[in-house]
Amino acid sequence: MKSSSSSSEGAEGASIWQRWPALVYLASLATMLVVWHAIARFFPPMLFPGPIPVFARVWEIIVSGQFIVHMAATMLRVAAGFFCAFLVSIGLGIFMGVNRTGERFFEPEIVVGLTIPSLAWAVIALMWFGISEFAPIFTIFVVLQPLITVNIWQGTKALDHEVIEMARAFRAGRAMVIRDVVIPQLVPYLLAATRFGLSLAWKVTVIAELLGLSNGIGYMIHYSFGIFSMLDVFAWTIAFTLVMLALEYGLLKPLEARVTGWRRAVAL
Amino acid sequence: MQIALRGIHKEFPRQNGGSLAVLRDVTLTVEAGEFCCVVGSSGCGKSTILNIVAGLTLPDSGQVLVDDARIDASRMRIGYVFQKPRLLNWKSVRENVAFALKASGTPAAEARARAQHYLDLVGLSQFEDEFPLALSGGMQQRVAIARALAIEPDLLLMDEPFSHLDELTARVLRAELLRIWQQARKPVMFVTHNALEAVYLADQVLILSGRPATILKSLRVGLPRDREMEDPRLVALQREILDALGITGASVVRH
Repeated sequence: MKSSSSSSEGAEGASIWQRWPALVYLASLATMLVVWHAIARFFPPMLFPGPIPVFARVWEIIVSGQFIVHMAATMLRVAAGFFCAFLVSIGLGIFMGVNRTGERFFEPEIVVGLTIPSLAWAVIALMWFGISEFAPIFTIFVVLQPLITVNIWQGTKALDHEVIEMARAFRAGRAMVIRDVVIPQLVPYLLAATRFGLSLAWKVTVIAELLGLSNGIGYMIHYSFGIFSMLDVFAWTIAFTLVMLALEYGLLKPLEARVTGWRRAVAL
Repeated sequence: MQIALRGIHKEFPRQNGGSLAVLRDVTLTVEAGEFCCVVGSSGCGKSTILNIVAGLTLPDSGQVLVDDARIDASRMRIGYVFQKPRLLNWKSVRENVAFALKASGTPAAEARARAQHYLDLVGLSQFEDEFPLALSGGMQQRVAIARALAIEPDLLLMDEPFSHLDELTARVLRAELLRIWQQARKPVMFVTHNALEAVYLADQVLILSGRPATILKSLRVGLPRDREMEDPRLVALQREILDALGITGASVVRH
């Protein structure tokens, strides 16, 4: 009796923030906007426009159709580069995880790849391939590949061999072992790789676009810089960030919660 | 189905380049329907024997013969209960049991029904939709036992399956295991370092030496099956095993 009454009290006593976690996120966003608005009041709008004019401008570029055109260009580049990097990394990462010699051979490649600044790659790609779609895609590929490979390599090394042995003892075939035993263990690493990889891919693409392309979000930020319109720089950056947030909270987070839900189970 | 090991040798390579002899000339026979316990101290190579029978480890020399080699050992249907549960934590309890059934070629619909039946048998039918990490260690091990039994194996291999459990749970599961075994009448190889557990369960107890392990002695437990662990005859047999292993507790007391 006593324990049940105290536990129900605990649920009622929980603050509003604990009962609706989404409220915390909203409060966080609201705080950001208020702080931004407050700071902007101390500066001329030419240098630091506040949230109200910026969101008005965001609305304008969305309704005018400009945003969709440039966002689509950027997204296609990110998707192509990311897809190629992911494909190569899965093969290479698993190979490095299971083969000691392969691991030693490719490790320096990974370290070098992680060290070279992405800006350097963007410049090199533009000088090699000129103003073409291939330059940004190549840049994304070479920047992302070592990063994703590291994740998959570590995930493969962390595989629980005891459950693989169990599956073999029960005569599970190779396809079944891979599908039911190996891949579920790699999924958290694949998700982490996707998240890091995508966030880096956006930044790299924008740099490549800024340096030498004629469309995409990066180009538009550069163009706004050319006409010295801080309002446009802010508007394009914010609009782009909103799409990224929607992807993160609308797609990646729910996906992660779905496929790794078994980890949250609490022992009795 | 009779299982026989003939002259099994096994060495494992070591980090420093040498090798570690684990099994030396291990020869034993488990008769059809027999409950055989293998007793030895920790790390003496007991698990290696089971892995060789299961085909997970290849011996350096020697043979595993099933029914005098009339049956290919790799075709045997083996239920294996490991020291740790070794469950697939991303699958529900029922899916874990169904996994073993599918691996051994049972159609999905039948696998589901049989998984439910065997989970019921180990008292976990209420928990079949839970994920393993939501269960206690003892319950996880019962899932592992249900998984091994569900495939209705030709041979059941058990590697200290109760050693991580509290004694009360272990007692209940030992009695359950005997009850199920008496119905199925399939051979069991049960590895343990607990001599009393061995004499309580077994028809035949094989005593292993330290590394490299070889069979020191084989013991028959001819007592009827409604055994009590406190039975003085079992305690006397336990003493015999401990003496064979050179663990002379009595002489220490006398000093």
